Amino acid sequence: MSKNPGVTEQSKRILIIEDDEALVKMYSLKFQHEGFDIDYALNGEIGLNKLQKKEYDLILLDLMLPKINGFQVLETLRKSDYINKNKMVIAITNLSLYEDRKKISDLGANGYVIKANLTPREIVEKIKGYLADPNLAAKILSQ
Amino acid sequence: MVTNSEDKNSLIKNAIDNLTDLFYVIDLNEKFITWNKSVNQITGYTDKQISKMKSSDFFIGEDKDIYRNLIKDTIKKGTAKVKIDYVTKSKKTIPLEFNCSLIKDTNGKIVGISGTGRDVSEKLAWYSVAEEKTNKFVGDIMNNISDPLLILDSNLKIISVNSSFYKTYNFSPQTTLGSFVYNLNNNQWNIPNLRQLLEEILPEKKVIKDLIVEHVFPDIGKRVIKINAKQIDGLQIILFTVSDITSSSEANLVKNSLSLTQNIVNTLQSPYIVIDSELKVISANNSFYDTFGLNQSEIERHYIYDVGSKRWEIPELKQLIKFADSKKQNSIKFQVQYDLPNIGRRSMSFSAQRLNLVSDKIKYILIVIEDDSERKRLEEEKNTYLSIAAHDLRTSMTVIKGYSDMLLGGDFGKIEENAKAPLSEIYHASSRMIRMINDFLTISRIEQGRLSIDIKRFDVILLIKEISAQIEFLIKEKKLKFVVNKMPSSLFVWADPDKVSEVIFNLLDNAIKFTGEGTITIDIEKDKESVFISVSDTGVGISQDQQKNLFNKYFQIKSGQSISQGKEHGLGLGLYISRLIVEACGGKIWVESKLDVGSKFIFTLPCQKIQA
Repeated sequence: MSKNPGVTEQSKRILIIEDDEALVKMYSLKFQHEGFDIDYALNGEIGLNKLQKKEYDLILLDLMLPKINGFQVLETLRKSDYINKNKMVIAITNLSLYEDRKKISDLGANGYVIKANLTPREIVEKIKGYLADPNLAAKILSQ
Repeated sequence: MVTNSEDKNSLIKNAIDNLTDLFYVIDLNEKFITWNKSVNQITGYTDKQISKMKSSDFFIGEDKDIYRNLIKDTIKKGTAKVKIDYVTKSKKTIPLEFNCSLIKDTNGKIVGISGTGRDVSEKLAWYSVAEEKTNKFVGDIMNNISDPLLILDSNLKIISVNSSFYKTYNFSPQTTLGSFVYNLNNNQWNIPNLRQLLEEILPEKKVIKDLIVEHVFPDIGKRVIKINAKQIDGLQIILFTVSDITSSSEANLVKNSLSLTQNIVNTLQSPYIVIDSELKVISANNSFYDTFGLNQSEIERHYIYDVGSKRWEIPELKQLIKFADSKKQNSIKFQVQYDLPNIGRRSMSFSAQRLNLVSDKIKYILIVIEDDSERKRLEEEKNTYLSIAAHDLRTSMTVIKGYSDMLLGGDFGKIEENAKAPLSEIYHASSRMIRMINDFLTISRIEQGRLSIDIKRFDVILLIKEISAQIEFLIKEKKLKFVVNKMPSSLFVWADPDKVSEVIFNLLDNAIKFTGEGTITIDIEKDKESVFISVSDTGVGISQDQQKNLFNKYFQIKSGQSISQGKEHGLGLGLYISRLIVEACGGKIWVESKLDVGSKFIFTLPCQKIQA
């Protein structure tokens, strides 16, 4: 695991859509340490606005969001063909029931991360894996 | 000596001709072989005609079928008999009792059937005399009973009464016999709910014993009467006695116990009602009136399910009928959710307690009603609050855990050696706390009844394929081998597909978690009733000791290995929830495991719909 910024992922842009500021701060810190370019939105509405203006390589999307929730964000992205443009959406959530997982994948997300179960270090590893092999993620949830 | 067979036959013919009963022998095709004169006399057919007939030709219509059945029965059983009202050529009806037997030759081969027919008109005449005598006898017995006694038919019309009845109530036979019991003498007997007692309670309980009722009769004034009734199913009648106990000590006893009971219930603060063993309300306390907005006249002397003009027709109250009758149970409790008109939906708990007052003759049931509605509402509010609090708590814990992990990983520079252990403690404690919060949330979801099971018919193979595809990356991440054994193309079961997915996912998740290297195998088998789904691994295994409690609430495998691997969750609640789901679907779940060899979790699902 490399801790030196600028080795491989420095150019990847990530948008974190998450309403808990402490989590956003922590994830941003970690991803920046790993050399990612980080942006964030504290609700779904801001998130969608940012997505219209800028391009991101990957979105970390919380599902229980104020105003526009994560499922609605996913739906909007799917309709706008955003997900199909080789962009990745990874749900970061504590919803772990099968129903939720199925809904996430039905709506076109490329993967999911259970927040409470994984630390930022583990999440970064997972995200790196997804970015390195987009097919792995796509295969998981596109059934 | 009779030597030749012709002589023998004529001798037999003479003998049978002397019988007054019909006598004949037929072959298996019912053709006549021989018959006596009585056959000619009763049927009016000549010998020549009979010799060309079948025995059933004597009968027409329904009688023909009855007679044919007699022959069939005889062939089947050896002998049979039946009574047929035979209509002669001259349209005279003779009740004939037929008896038939098989005739066998010396080798046991059936060669024919012998039949006799006896005119039983005299016998029947005797029966009708006997019936008359019996009726008189029963009447005498009835009249010797000092309490008024009525016999009702199944429509509750009065068939007969004894003389004491006429004497006590001043009724005439003209107004009594054939009348409905509650219409007696211009509705004088329209005792509230007597109709219900006889039409609803008696058919269910068969016997009503010593029901004491106070009633104001227009002609004879206020009376305390004791009612006993027994339904005699075989005869389709009801015996019904109504004793006037107005001046007896029993009535005083009742009065005293009533006032005693009244005093007791009025001092109590929860809503209480007292009913008698026939489920009639004796009294209620003020709290009952206040809580349910009813007044005394709407309650007292009404059946409990009639209270407030049927507003209390609560199905659960039927349990009280059984309880009132039960000799074993002294108390019961049950929950009622009901929309009470004017009041709205109520959640109530009923506790019924048998009271034996003064003497065993007077049996009351005390019912305490606790209105849980407010408590339920508060409980829901509390649960919602706790659930929100738990979610927020978990997020904060996630932050603590995340930063401690980042600190330990050197994200913020090198850590002093002596700070590593305390930091590690923070990390593990916060991980543990998150697990506890997860457990709490799952349990509360189950306890709030949010584990709803929706049984459907679905293809379990398709489901397994879906889940396998979803979980494959987790398995690949850990560099494990994943084998899905050969399965039929489809296999239908009756269960809740979403919940079953959760079970399969749980099992696969556990298998991945507890397997360092090797293979995870998913397999499916089937017998007549069930489909067996199994998930096996080559992981750490589970000791015999731990297997016993594996599926219980809060059980967690104590495995140092999983902690040292930095894993956040043990087996915990997943298997408990899996068990609840599988059992709710009508299946079973168990484990076969050996330490350091691996585990195989197996659960079954029914192939057929299970009737609830």
